Amino acid sequence: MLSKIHSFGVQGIEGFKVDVEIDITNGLPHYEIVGLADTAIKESKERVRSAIKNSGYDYPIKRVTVNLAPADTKKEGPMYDLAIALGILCAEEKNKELEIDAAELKKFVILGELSLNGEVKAVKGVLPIIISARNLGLKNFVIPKENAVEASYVSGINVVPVSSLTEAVEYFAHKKQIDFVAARDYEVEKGSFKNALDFKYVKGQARAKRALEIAAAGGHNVLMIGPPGSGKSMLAKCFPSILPDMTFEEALEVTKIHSVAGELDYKKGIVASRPFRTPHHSATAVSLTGGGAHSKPGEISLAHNGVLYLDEMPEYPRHTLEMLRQPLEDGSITVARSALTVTYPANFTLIASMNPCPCGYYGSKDRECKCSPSQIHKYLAKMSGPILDRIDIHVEVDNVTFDDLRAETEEESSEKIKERVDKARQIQLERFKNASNYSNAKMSVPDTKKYCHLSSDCEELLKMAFENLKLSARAHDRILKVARTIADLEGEKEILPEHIAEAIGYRSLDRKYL
Amino acid sequence: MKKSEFLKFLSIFELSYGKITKILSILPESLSFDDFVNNHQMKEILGEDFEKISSQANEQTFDKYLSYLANKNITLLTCFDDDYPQKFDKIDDKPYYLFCMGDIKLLNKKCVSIVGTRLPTNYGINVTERFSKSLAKAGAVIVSGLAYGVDGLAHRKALEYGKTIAVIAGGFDKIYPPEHTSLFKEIAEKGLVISEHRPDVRVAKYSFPQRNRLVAALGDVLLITEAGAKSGTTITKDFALDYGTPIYAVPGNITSSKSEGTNSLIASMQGICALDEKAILSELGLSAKKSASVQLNLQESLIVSSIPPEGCDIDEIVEKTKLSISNINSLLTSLEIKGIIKKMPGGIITQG
Repeated sequence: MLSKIHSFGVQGIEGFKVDVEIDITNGLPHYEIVGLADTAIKESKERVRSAIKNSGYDYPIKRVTVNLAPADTKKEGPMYDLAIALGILCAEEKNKELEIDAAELKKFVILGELSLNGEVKAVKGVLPIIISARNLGLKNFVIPKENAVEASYVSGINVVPVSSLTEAVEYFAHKKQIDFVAARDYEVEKGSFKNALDFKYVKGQARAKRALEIAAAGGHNVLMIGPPGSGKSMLAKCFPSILPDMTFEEALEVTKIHSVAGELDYKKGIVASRPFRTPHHSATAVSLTGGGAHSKPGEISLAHNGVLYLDEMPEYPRHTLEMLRQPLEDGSITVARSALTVTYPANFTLIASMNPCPCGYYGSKDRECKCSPSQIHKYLAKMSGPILDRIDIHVEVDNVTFDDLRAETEEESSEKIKERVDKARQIQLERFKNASNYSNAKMSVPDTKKYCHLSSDCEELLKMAFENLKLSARAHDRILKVARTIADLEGEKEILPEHIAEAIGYRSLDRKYL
Repeated sequence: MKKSEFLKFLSIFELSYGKITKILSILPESLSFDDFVNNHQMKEILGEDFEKISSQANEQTFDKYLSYLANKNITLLTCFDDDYPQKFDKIDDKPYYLFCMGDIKLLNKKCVSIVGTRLPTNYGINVTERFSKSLAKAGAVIVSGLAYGVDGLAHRKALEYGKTIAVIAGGFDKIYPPEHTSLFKEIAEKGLVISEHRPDVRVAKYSFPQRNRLVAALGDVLLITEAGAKSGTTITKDFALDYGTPIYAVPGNITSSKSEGTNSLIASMQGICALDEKAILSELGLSAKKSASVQLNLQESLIVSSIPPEGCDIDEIVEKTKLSISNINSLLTSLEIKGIIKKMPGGIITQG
């Protein structure tokens, strides 16, 4: 007999509908899965058989054929186990006494991995699947209980959480009542930034803090240059605490990515604070960009709407860094593989840190640098022009003195800084309400012309700076964008000379460094 | 063909110093290419090189070579020319010809050679720029070797305020270090670059000491701003001692290894302690030009007064002035544009 069950697969961060068809015919006992299934799905044969047997049902000693339609799309992961198991139970005539309501079953999308004892385990990608399915008009879902919180953020759907195969069978036989998952309201995670520290614990470093405040306000990328132990990592870790709160739409998008990557905390069910990702410099290019054999979002997508922190940036292989060029420009990455092309969102703020030279102490006030000039040149040359082009703010960080560390002075808390950042963001939201971008950093060339109007005083100052400080041409637009953000922070409509002057101070790598 | 013309012809072949010396000793006032090809003495001196040279000894090759140099705006100066600096006569192995790009008149002006470490500390950067600026302003031509560090700093400041000569070790097409190619172009345009080698010759290890002897001879004064115990600067200093060029050294912190060289020069009384540009200028018969004072507003002067002579980081300025960081950031940039302060690597601010 034939049965057909609805399920879903994931491609990129979108779900696509998969029909699980099961046909049981007389013949030699055999189990075959067709429809471009990967190894995880092929191995479902053993999981499904054991789960059915250990739940006390009969497994057919017949020829079982499973088809995952559409047959020409690759399918990955163990999320079809539950659908296959229910399909087999429906199709096997011996199980008639179970009284599974096949018509009811057909209204549902079934997701879940089975363990050998019949338990239903959590699967990746539940949120993107549910959202895509809802957009297709599907409303009813059976999902693993562990994934329930994740699903609860989508409204207007009926979600049945199950913890075992038996529960699912009994639900569809109308023998057991299971309540739908109650819809939940999004709440911004306050005060408990995952991984984030508070700026009030960072003594001194006024300039670096100011630079990060500007970066947070305008969405600018930052490069911190300083000797080892000067607190670059600490500053970077504080950065998420002053970023504006994520809106529900932003949070959903981030959660989708994290869900597909299997990085979601199932208890929380949603990523409610901006992500902060710190891939090590041994990371491969694919792990950063995403893709690969099992197409998975990379670190830069996991940092979507948050921060990507690259510590010791020149230590990353050149070609890995060059991969960041397109995402830094477009806010997304398109990974093309022979089988399929996937686009992942990757709109992140890049915070990078580096030493001023290989030994780390060039220009430091309390230690002598041991590098030769050509070593320093080689080290700095690892940061290619196109990458530096995409970093608006360069800031030097020096060691904090002991006196600073022991100082009793109260440093400004992240909360206070965040208030100013929020105000500046509000101005930008207003400014870009009809545009696709929403931060000063992402202004296009015409936008820069339009919104960064300079008075003659500003023009004069900029001209003098270019002549006297020997700035390179590429600094020009960066300075305007940063100056725009500084003006927003001060609540000024027009860019004033002091804003330009401050912005010029953040272009140290454009100068002659040696 | 005159002596000097023939010397220019020989410069095509990058002959060894000894061979040219011998040729010059037997060179008649005037000779033609044919005379050269048939000259037995020449053949003896040149040995295996003779065949190659004589095969190219014709008007066409020579004209082509001269127009090749002219296209590159290179002047070939021989020791028989009037513009050839007399200062080089004190060199035992003085160059017989010089490839020049720029204003060759500078060679006979009053020159100060500024040399030092390739990787200066913030102190070294500061004093090099300070001396280069005030000396160039007073009319002295700043001579250096286009190397990293002190050399480059001295050239750059001199370009801003006066004239400079770069003596380079290789040919004009193979600038070393390559990062200084744009600096080289600027000096060739506004000052003078000289080399002993044909434009396409790469730098060899031995050409650096040779370059140093010209730097030492060209300067009427040699100024060492910052140098460690063992460095290329030592070679320049030894040449200067040979030539009787007065040596000035800028004293440094006795705990800094980067000042060991200059401090020991002063201690051994080989060098004169250079505290400011005045002594050097009076040695040259020049006088210092007063710099126009710049008007500062209250906040700007507050910031300038909060910066100690050895420099400090921004945190210290914040603490001393109690101004807001955004205010300080923008004031620092405007002060830097006015040339009052300077930002050093590592974010250290010093008075410029």
